[in-house]
Amino acid sequence: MTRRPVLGIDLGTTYSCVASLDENQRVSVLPNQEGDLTTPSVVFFEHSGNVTVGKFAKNELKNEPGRVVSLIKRHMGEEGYTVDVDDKELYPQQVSAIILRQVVEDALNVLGLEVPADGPLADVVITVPAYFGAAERQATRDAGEMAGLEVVNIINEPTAAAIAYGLISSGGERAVLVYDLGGGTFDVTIIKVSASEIRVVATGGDHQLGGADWDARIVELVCEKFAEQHPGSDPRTDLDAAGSIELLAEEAKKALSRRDSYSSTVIANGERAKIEITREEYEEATADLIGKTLDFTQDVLGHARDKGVDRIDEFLLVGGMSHSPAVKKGLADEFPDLPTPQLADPDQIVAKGAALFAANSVAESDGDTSTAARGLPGGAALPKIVNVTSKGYGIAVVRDSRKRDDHDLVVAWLIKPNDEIPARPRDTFRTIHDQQREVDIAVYESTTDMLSVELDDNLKLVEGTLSNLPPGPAGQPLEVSFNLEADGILHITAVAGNGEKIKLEAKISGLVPEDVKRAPLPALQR
Amino acid sequence: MTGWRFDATRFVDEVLKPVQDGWRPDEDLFRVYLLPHDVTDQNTVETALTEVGRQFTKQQYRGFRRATEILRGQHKAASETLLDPARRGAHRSRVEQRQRKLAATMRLRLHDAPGLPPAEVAAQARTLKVPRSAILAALEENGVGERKPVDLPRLAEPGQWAEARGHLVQLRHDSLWDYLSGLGGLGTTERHLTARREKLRVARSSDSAAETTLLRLVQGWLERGDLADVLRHEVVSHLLDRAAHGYAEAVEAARAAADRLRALGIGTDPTAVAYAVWCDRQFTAAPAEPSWQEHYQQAVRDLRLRTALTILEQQPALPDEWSRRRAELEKRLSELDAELDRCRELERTDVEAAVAGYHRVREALADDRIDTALERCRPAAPPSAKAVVRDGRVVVTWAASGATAGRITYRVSRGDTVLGESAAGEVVDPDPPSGTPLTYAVHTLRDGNPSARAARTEPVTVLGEVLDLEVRGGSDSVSGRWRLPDGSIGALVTRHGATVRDTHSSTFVDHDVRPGETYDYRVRARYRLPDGSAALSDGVVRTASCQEVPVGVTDLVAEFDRDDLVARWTPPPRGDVELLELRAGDDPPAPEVVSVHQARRHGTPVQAVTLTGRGALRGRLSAHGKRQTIVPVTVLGELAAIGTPCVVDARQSSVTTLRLDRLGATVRLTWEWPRGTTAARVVWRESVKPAGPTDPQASSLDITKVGYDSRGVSISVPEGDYWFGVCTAQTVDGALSFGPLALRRESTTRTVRYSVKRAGFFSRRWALTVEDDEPPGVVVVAKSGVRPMDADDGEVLLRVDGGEAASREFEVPRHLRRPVHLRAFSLDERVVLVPLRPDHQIVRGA
Ligand SMILES: Nc1ncnc2c1ncn2[C@@H]1O[C@H](COP(=O)(O)OP(=O)(O)OP(=O)(O)O)[C@@H](O)[C@H]1O
Ligand SMILES: [Mg+2]
Repeated sequence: MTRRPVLGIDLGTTYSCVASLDENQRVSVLPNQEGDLTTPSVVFFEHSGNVTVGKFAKNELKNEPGRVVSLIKRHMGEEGYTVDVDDKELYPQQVSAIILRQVVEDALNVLGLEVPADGPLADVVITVPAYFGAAERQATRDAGEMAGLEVVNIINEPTAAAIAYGLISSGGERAVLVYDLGGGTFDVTIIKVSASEIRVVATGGDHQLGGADWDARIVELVCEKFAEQHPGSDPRTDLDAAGSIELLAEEAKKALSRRDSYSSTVIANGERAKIEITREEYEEATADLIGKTLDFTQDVLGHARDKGVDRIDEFLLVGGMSHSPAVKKGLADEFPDLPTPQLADPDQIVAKGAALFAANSVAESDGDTSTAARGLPGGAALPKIVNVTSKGYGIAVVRDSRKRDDHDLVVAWLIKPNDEIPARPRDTFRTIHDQQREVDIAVYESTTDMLSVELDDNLKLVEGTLSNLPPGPAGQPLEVSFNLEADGILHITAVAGNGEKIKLEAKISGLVPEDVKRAPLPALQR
Repeated sequence: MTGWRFDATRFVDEVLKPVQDGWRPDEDLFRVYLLPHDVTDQNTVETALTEVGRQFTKQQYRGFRRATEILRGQHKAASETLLDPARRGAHRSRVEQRQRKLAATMRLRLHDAPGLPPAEVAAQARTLKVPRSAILAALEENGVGERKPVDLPRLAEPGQWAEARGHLVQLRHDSLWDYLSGLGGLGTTERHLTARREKLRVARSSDSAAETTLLRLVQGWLERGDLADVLRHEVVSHLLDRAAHGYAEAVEAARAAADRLRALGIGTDPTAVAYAVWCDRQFTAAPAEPSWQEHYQQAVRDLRLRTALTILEQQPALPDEWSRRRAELEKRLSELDAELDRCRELERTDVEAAVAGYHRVREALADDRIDTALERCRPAAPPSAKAVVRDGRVVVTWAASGATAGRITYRVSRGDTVLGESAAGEVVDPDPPSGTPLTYAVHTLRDGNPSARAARTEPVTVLGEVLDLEVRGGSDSVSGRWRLPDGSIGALVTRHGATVRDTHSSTFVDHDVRPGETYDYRVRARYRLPDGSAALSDGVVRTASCQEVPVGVTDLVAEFDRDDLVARWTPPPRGDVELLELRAGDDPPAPEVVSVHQARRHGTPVQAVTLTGRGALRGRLSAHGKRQTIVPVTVLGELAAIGTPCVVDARQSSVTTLRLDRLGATVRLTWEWPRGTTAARVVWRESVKPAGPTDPQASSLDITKVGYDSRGVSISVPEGDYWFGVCTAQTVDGALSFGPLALRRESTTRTVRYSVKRAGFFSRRWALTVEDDEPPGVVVVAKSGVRPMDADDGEVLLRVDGGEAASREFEVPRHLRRPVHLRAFSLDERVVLVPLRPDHQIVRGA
């Protein structure tokens, strides 16, 4: 029996891509059934209950936009979020599972393999934005399992890009800035790459910023222009036209990467208008979005500088939006001292890196180190991967220990953004009252990569009470240790002087219910 | 049954669109959840909250993504407000207070009219940033509503209408309608007109002329068939005029004209017409037609007093007030005419005084006569002018003219070329022709009107400098080039005062130079003056030095990686390194510094296939499967340094799948031979990687393919840590050359099997069994969801020292999220642990 295929999957907000190693151990992207190298991450729910994924699903935006689900990755791991199609509620994990199932079935097809009757379809590594927290990562893993995949690992998109990039180019240790502007998320990461190690130095970004926001700006432009020709008429209020306009917006955006103007006809509310958008108008309407990415890039460069990286040897542009000339220009203008930003196979590099990683992990877990080494071009072993956290973790303590006010609390940070993971810091805290027998431990996570000590700015992950402290005057020590695993899950232990102990685990929000997780997926259709 | 129903259209128009456009949903939660303000039934509120809440993630509202996100974000807070009767009440009073305010605003806008037209409702909604429905509600509060006005005929003013109006006024008729009613009314025909004309012939009065003209105009309209339109225009503009005073006036006027409106087919309901007229006045800004008064005013403003007088004279029956104005105007004009005559007289004796006088009159009167007179009164030329050459340009100065009246400026010209106008006493000729005598003329200008004569300068000659001078340092010389300015016949070049001999009319070369040294060159243009004498310009100075010499690369290493060539070298301090593929059959060039051009003749550059950094390149060669020489060339400016070449052979590619197996005291090596290779070299070293095939510190063994196939390769090495390298070998021109080295490490290791199992049925404990007589030290590591990659990658559950019992039990803690992957690692580097059943190592339940 042949081994299960080993795949790397870039599950993107707008496009997904699958890669694997071929018989010559070269990494290549597997085309889908339409022969395209990337598949739109779009699902169309038919009346019959069947579903369609990809290009044809996206095309249904023109006919039945209400039955088409897109941009689901933006809601992965979001507490209480479901999409509503046909009065059925679907969890983001389910929609992602459908996409994964389809792209993997297509990949099997290209590899000439049957879809097995039972058991996992493939061993896969799925990528996520570096900015994803524990909940989003768990949701991605669950989606993979619901699609019938053996999820070997979840790795960061920029890391995958660096693996794919790092292994095709050689040389000594280099600092690489990866600017990944995709369809839904923006990541900027600084990575040190050498033959023995890929080390993430600093990372930042915004997972609500991506090509879709550029598309939305174009939709606004289109609506303004439509209203100029038909005063008082807003095409968005024509729900049947919304999907076509969304498609048109993306098409316009892509065209404006190459051309100076784009024109098309919009029909909405029973009226038609010929709309022309120039590149200048487009760039003006979206300049602030690019500006945001520049700010994030500055911040991350700052973090990297704090960690001693003051030279960038390579500046990689990843993600489909990087095709846009305005991005490259904005970066070159803002960072004249950095190397010229280079487009690095922006649509496929992430999937390729995932495939390399997957091949290596699987070979390694089979106990066959020689295949693992052979699994990579050049016969080199995969470098060790060192990651960082994008968020901070800490516990609530009194603001001023002399005032002993139990209600005036601030966060004491044990783990800071861009600390290496796994991170296992510990710190000693003290009781504030005499004869204090109990202490509340509340654990907080920062919401961004900037830290604030105020409780309200942060997210409470979990809390618990450690009782039976030894009696004594104020100032009894209490040791708190954190353990942040590579999978982004935090374990907390607090130990009192007398050995009393409490262990907490940060709960993951936004999980898909067990019964939904076990329910079969709807039938896929082409 | 709550009776509440979700209304999708209303939800889009009143909620999604306004929110998308920036309306804050918390300003009116009743609106967001499609609830009446006075809702009290808790059930209804709950239904609405659930139903509307569900809309936020519906895909059909994808065009309003921003709005749905905002609404989703505030849903929880909104639910709390709406479900709590007290807070709902407070919210309601805030909403209603805002509505009352809006109603008051609308009242002001209405001016007692019975409504607003739809376009105006939309416009108000836009400016006040509220939804349409809020405006409608505010109108309702005022007892009115949205109301579409009836269509009014939109007619352009008929030709000669103003004239007709004039005649009607003279004939003391309010309107044409009024006048025609004395003929045939709306049904007036040619016959009526003829009859009336006959009548006028027999009874002539002062008004006859006016009436005959009017009849002629009416006849024209009749012939063109637009008499009815003229009448419609008349009544509509009359109503529009009245509507300007307010809605009430419009209604009154429309009522009075009810018959006319009906007869002309404009409308049967005078109030409807009044509303339409009022809307038109209020909300559409149409430019009003100028009347004779406006023409008059405009003429007065433009000081065209004669025209203004003509307008008044042409008006029949000027009202008293206006007759008085006419008399005043006549008087003023005759005063001004007298003043003009006086100035004319003065021209003969004192031109400046005359001009000043004309200017005064011109402030009150626009008249061609004044302009002609001013043109006649030319200013005096400047008494003298002077030109001097300064820095290749000519500066012209002059003494002021005696002219004082008006704006006095000067114009400087050279031949036909005007150089500029200036009020100051100096103009610079920025680009004078060189080598020829130049004279400049200066005219005085009064308001742009030039003096009859000009002041002229003495001739000056400019010796212009050479143009576009460039001096460049080459490898062994400095050369210069320039353009000669017009008029120049050559150039003189000096270096630190001494003439450079090798000088031509627009170039020079100086070979007498040392690399790295800096020289100053002065280039002067040579002229032949009209008197036959020669002259030199001051000259332009440039500094140049001989170029820095690039340094060649001496440590280029290149090898093949599949089809790609991978090269590395130490980057030289300055300059860019190019790799050239030596032309087939050529000998490698000697390492020397030559011109870039010469260097590149040795071969074609290697094309890079990926991003490459300094000191490295991955590229493709133009021809495959051959032995090739790669020449590194350091390019610095014009010069290139040829470095030490490196020979690569595509056949000399790396061996693959190198594998080491220890068999007792020997290590057996196996690998795959690249196609076409016949010999290989094996090198090995203890603990360190061999530096290359010829590493003197390493042991080596040469082997042929034939030998490998028959005997294999086994090397005796004692136990320990060794690095082995294998590369292909080939004899080229008598010298041995090697392919890239494939490296592997061999540490005396042994494989030990282990298993992890539940200690017993239903036991929560697990057991580790290591199948070896001398078990190594072992750690068992656990990790949620993924296999641990090394002993540090996860939580350590068990640690057993070397030589201890081979079977031990442990527990998998509950805080580890299931599934938990277990894996044992050896603490002894020389032992590798391999699981018997990898699939048994995942803990799923307790
Ligand atoms: N030529 C182009 N010009 C401009 N934009 C482009 C071009 N090609 C693709 N895009 C845009 O790039 C985005 C897709 O990029 P990509 O596939 O990298 O994102 P993704 O992986 O789906 O999303 P993410 O990484 O954020 O989860 C889309 O918004 C797409 O419209
Ligand atoms: Mg992506």
